[in-house]
Amino acid sequence: MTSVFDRIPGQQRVREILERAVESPGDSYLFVGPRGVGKSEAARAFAAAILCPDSCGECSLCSRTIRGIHPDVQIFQPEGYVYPLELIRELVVSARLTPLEAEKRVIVIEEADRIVERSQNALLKALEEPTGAVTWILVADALDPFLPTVLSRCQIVEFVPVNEEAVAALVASRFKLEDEVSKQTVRASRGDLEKALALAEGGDAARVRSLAIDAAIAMGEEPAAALDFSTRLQEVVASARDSLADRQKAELEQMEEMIGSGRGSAATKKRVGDRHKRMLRRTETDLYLDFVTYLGTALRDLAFVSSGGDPESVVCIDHAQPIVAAAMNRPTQHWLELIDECLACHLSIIENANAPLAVESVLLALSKSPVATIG
Amino acid sequence: MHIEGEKEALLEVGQSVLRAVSPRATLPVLGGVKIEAGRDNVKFVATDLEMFLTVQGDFAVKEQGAVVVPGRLFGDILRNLPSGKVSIRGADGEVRIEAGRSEFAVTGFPVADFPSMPEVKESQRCQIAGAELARALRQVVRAASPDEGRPVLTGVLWSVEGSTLRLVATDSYRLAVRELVIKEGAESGTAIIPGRALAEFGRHLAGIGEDEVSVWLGDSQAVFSAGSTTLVTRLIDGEFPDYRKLIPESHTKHLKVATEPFAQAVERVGLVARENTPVKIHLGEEVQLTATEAGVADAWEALEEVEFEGDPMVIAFNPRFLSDGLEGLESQTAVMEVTDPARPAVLKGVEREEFIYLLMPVRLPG
Repeated sequence: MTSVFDRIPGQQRVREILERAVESPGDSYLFVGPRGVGKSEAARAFAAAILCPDSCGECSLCSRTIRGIHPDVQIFQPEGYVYPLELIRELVVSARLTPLEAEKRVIVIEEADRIVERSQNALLKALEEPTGAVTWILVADALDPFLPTVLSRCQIVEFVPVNEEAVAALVASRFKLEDEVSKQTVRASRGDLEKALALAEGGDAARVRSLAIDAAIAMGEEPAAALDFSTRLQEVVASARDSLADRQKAELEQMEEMIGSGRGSAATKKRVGDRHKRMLRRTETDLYLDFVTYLGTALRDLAFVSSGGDPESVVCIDHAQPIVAAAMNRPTQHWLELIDECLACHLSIIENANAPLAVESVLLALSKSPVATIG
Repeated sequence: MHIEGEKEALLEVGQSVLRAVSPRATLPVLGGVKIEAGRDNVKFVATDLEMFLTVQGDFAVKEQGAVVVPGRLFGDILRNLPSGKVSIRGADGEVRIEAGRSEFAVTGFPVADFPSMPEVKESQRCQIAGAELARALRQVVRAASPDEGRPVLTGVLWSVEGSTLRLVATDSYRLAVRELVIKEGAESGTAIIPGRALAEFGRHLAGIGEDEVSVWLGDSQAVFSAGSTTLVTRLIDGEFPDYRKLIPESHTKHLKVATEPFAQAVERVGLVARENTPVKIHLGEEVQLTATEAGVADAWEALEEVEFEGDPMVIAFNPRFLSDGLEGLESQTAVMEVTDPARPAVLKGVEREEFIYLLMPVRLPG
């Protein structure tokens, strides 16, 4: 018999915890773990298992839950950088409603670490007075953005990076890749299923990655080269933004057909429009963050090889040769300092610095470093 | 699926069910209307995720089955079709609507994606006279809070005791209580029903006249059924305030006044009262209404056909809330019972005990 939990690859322990919890689910859960390890998928699977008597993963109920169109399973994603307080307030109120179709309700908040402190306090009201009919699932990358009062109300379920076999199996189920390419993709994803799929698909994610690795390898060249990488990155980001904007335009047109011009339609269009704008900003920021992460990973490989590590074990396995060649240009200490620059840049983007500028300045800082002389 | 019917009849059913479709539907399939052709009836279903609304229509079924069409577009098409026979047929994927020489091919949503109606056990069923319930809903629902700060207050308490049904709503400024007699199948129990769903059902009832209404209360849903219309709504989980404690047991002042002229005077004097400005009632030998909006206007009016017993006093109310109460009385003569300017006033019809409206006064400075 199939199980909806088959949809959670490589998280055996999580699967066991959730399977046991299905019979009498708690009031609130916090799924925590690194990005792209299947937390959202697990939240949907768990929701389906709570609602479906067989946890089958195949019936209309499971299928609608997983696709987010079941009236008793609400799945929220932040549309901008944080969740607006009004949305959290609405959510707390709507949690007092009984189910419409099933016997229980599930509310999933993805990227719940983007609920700022004030909104967490609003949410706390719902977590502190559970109705028994609603199960909350908060999904987050880390625990530290949460108030202790929120954490103490949730059962915490920890996710681990997915092992390479499970990532490889998932990639193989969606894409037909040559063995070598598949191995490189799996390694580059570092246990992040979403990233593995995006990289396997090629496109903007893959372009951002190879740009970052090339930039790391070219470190020490003229400032002009750094600026050139920055320009090329901005072009990739712009093209990703444009294709998203096209998709949004199509969605809006379909929406307009559906909602017509009657009561409330202007407000709906504004909501959709606002959501689209926030999503565009998010997409851009995320690509810059990815670039900095890949840059850091490549620098880590360079430091690793320069300190005598086995070239077979580098993360950027598809760029092993140029990495080995470039690694000796600088002492290990120097590569490590560059990694610090990347971490600082990553943090400043998360803290809302201007992303293109932050990336450009880290590229310039790296290019300024003097080429090391051996000996 | 294939059905046929007259345009006017289809439009009527289509429009009434479309009112349930939320203009805020964020997922396309939830903005759809499901058309279910059974052996000998056709059901139209729509949902706004808080409730389902089903309207049955008497149309010829050529082939059984179901489709889900985009709601707004379907409504627009029906409205604009020429009079005469309309045929709707199709399956998941494509639905064809034909009338005279016009023909539409509409992309439908997968039927399996449309939410399904819950089954609510029949045991908790009761029957109520439709017209009376429609009136009661008009009187009570407006006192429910539109503000979502306190979820239970956005609902109406539906409380059954023996053969009496009590509907209660309050937004914490006023409280409306209405009693009805259950015709059949009473079983004690309470539920808090979202005000919006009841308002919607009330509108349907008003449209269809004297029909009998059947109500089922389940643990998670309530079902209202009248004639061809069925509404299934979520309930609000929580404790409704103990309204009995709020109703004063005694009073020291008693005003009896012709309802209609009083209501009109409140409207007129209320013109001057903007947001947060109250209308004052000067109770005494003569009863006067006044309102003052500093620097803008003053208004005053003496009431006719009044009887007042008690010591003179000035008490002030939000004119809109006062009008709401007077409108709900359905009695030629209104009674207002008060004790002091800071305690709630009770409004009711003379010799009518089934509806009372409690109104908090606005505190006057000084």
